[in-house]
Amino acid sequence: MPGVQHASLAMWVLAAALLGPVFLFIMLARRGRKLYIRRIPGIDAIEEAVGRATEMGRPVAFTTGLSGVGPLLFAVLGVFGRVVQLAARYSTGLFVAQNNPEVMAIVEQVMRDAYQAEGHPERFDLSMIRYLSGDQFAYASGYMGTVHREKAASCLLFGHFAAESLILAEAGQQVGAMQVAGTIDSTQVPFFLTSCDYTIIGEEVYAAGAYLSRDPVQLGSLRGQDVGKLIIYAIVFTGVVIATWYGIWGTAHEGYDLWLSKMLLPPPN
Amino acid sequence: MRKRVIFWMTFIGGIYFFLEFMLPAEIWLPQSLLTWLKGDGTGPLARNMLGDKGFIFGGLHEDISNGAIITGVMALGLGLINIMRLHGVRLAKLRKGWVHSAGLIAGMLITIFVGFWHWGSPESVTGKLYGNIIMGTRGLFPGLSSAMFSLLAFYVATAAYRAFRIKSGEAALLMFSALLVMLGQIPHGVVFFDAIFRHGPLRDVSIIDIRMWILKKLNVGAFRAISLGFGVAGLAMATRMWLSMGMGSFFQDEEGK
Repeated sequence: MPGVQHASLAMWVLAAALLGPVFLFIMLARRGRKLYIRRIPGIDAIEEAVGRATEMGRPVAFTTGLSGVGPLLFAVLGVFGRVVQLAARYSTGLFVAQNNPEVMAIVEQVMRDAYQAEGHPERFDLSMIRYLSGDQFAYASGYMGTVHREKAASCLLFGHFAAESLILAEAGQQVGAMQVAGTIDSTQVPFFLTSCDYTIIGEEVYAAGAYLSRDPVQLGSLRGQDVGKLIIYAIVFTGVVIATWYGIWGTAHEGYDLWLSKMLLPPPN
Repeated sequence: MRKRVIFWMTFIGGIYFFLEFMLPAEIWLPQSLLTWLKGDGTGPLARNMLGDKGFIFGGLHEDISNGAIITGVMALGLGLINIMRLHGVRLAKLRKGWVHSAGLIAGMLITIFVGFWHWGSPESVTGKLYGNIIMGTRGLFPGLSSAMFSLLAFYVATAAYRAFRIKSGEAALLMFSALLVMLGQIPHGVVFFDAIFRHGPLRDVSIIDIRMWILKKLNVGAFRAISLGFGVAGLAMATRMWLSMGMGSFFQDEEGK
């Protein structure tokens, strides 16, 4: 299958079909329509984790993993902003381990805003943000050391993770921290499932911000995404039916020869 | 004011990358207009953005992408400042753990100096010393990274121990499927499975086939479902970022509103 360099006409249609419901539901949510969002225990546990740290008088550890600046980071910031707000409100200790300096700058701004919004800008201390290293394992060892030294009561791991995920999660386990992880990396999910109290998988990470903030734009977007997924499932189902039809009654077609594939992808050069 | 600046910068950056992908590689233009625009063919427009058939929207894509990379590199300075602020203060006031901070700062300064004055070139004495002692295959850094990576072997064992405690129906299913995958992965498992099921209805079934079926059918379906979900969610989030919709929860005005 050739790589896609530029969108085909069908991709314009698909993009409109996926984004149309998102804009529609955002508009409806802004007009006051109540949108239901199912309970996600992992997200409920985030506030519990901050509460636990407050009661124990020990800090919360938050990390965005190896996330760069992108949609995932902004989804994670939805959770992070809420955690910082709670930490600012209850004067809970917080440290944020960083791997990427670009992300660090955004994280700093979010923290400043959250402390300001809670009316306690004086409680914000820049040393809460720890740039550990741009190297994956140096960052992992730095996180481990920090969690052990500070005896974190709760560890929140949200973002993109790779082979270091288990090292980070085990560090929290070793100090008896309550741990909540959220990632879209399918290969790291099993490690978090075994080492964390709650794991938020895939798109639930994107839903977390909407769940915590109840912001109509985010809620509407979430409902629109569900409609988008239904559209994708309909395309998948149509593809399965067509492929099965060709397989039983038609001539032998493979992969790119199917007209549905041709419609979605431009022909190879 | 800040919010407005962020909005416009994001919008202009976003619309370029959106159109670069969504528009065809060359946008058709009438030949006469193309010839007029090209002129003598030496101008920057003719060299980068005009092809044989029309206008190349992404003609300067590499330069624009490099601009984004430069912005990222500038942010490295922030990391440097953060490290100096934390560890420099600890070292200056000789607080607990100052020795480690001194080691970190020394390593950082050596790396910066070697990099800045080309002392790191493989031919130079400093480059050879730096390469062999710190970054080379026999150096400190790869050894320390490998040591961290090797911790995974022990952590996987403890994680597996926790995962394989059968506390529910789902945990039992996980345990059972993991057992089959592990048996199919190791040579002894194949021998063991064949010995047990030599005479039964499963005598023609290979544990390797069962393992592959679990990994390539059941597992792939679940992985793709997760990928589809976050793909659509990522598209919606990227669009909201582009249009700065719903970003107010973490990009507030100076007044904190």
